[in-house]
Amino acid sequence: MEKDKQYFSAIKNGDKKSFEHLFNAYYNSLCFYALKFLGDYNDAEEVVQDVFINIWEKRSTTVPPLSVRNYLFGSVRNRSLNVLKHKKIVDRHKSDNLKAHLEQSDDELYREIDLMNKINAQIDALPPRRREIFILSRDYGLKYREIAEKLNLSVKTVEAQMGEALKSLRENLKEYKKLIIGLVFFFRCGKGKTTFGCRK
Amino acid sequence: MQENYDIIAKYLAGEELSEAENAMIKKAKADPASWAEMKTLFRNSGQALKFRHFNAAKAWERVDSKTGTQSYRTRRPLTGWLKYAATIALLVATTLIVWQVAIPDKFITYHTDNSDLSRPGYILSDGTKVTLNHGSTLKAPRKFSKDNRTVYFEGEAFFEVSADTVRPFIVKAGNADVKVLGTSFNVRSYPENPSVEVAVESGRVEVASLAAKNNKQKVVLTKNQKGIVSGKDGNLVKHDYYHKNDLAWFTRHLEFDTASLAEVLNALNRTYHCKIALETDVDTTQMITASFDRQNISYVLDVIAMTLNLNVKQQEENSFYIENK
Repeated sequence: MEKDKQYFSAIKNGDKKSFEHLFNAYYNSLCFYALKFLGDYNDAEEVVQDVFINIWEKRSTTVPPLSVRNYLFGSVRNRSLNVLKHKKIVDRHKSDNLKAHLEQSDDELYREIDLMNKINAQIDALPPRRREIFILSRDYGLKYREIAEKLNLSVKTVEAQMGEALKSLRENLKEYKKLIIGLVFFFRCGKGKTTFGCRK
Repeated sequence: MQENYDIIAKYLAGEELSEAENAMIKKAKADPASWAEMKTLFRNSGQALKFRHFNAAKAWERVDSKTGTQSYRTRRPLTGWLKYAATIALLVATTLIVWQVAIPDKFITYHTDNSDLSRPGYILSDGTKVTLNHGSTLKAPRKFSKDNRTVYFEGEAFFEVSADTVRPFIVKAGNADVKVLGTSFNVRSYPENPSVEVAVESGRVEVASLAAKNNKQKVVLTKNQKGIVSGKDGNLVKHDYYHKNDLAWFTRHLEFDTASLAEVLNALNRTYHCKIALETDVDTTQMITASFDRQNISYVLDVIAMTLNLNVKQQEENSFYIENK
């Protein structure tokens, strides 16, 4: 946190290296956040890049914020909502009160992002093949049979590798057990009672 | 308790289970805390993996060049005879392009209107099969030349190119050239969203960005990979995999795993080419997990609405309005 502030004041003096540090520290998390609003990877990246470009361009007049993190996530949120407005996805007459309806607090958001980073670190630690299988299943939505075909493996191997992946994630993230359960709320599949068409 | 992780993962990934395996799951569910932990962890991991779609290094190059001061390069104006040479070259190039595209009887134009959702398939003179999405135009010569097979394209299409090791098949789309020998791939290049996306289902595809500022960029894509040429600055990014949903307009299969409502609506818009307006109060960050196989848009929206407790109203044939209940 203190480091962020140092970066920020250095940016004020035109220090590009600090700017790069800040960028690298937050880029992926901010994109992830923007994606939640925009739903499009390219749009999300563009919003975040614009936020950083804007920080650099206005560096001499900007007052360093109390919390750099809040400032960055807040800027990304505002810009994302503006993009949504422009895309007219949102009903134009009422679009001003959108901000009030986000269900997630900043605190919850930061805990979520922290957990996501921890999970990614664990996924990175998986053996390459297991990692690839896990990513194909979880990120690209492929069925076991499709993964087996793509990677020239048997379906049984895919099953076993997925099991191993789940096991090691669970064992290595034990200390975050509470946090994991706490985040259940945000992944509501079948809120209410209707779950048909929904995967378990 | 000793967990059977293979079967639990299989279940959570939405695979079919045998009866014995289902019984195992029942047992595992009997411990709600442990079950919730695994289920949420599994879901969260899909969420976490989205971080990897963002390439900070590539993005930094872009932001760095736009914020100046360090590796700043000035462009010198052309001087003397170079100026004239450039003008002549430009004239020649323009004439060539106009000549190539404008002579009507040498080319056949395949076109779908913006509202045409029939996804027609065509066979070109070399045997290549092209399936067009809505609002697409393909110009192909009646007969391809001896050394290449060049077509001009706008919109979205799935190409199944017949193999010809001598004459490469070249798709000119937006500010990208897509060059292949024989393979199947999807090109998306709508003028209103000026980036060009190429997803490769099989074979090898070379994508070149024509508009890259600093140098001409080129990548080779193989099976499952995807390349995106930015409409803004011609920047070319390669991804190791494309998402299955990218091709859902063609395959009619959609899969959402802890995707936000915003992501889902984008994908639906892309797949069904429908307008979905949202009431302002609706939180687009709500998460959805569901899969749909060959369903129509009304059905898909109904399921999503029930899941998130929303109301869907159909306004016109392909236009919907979603509001909170």
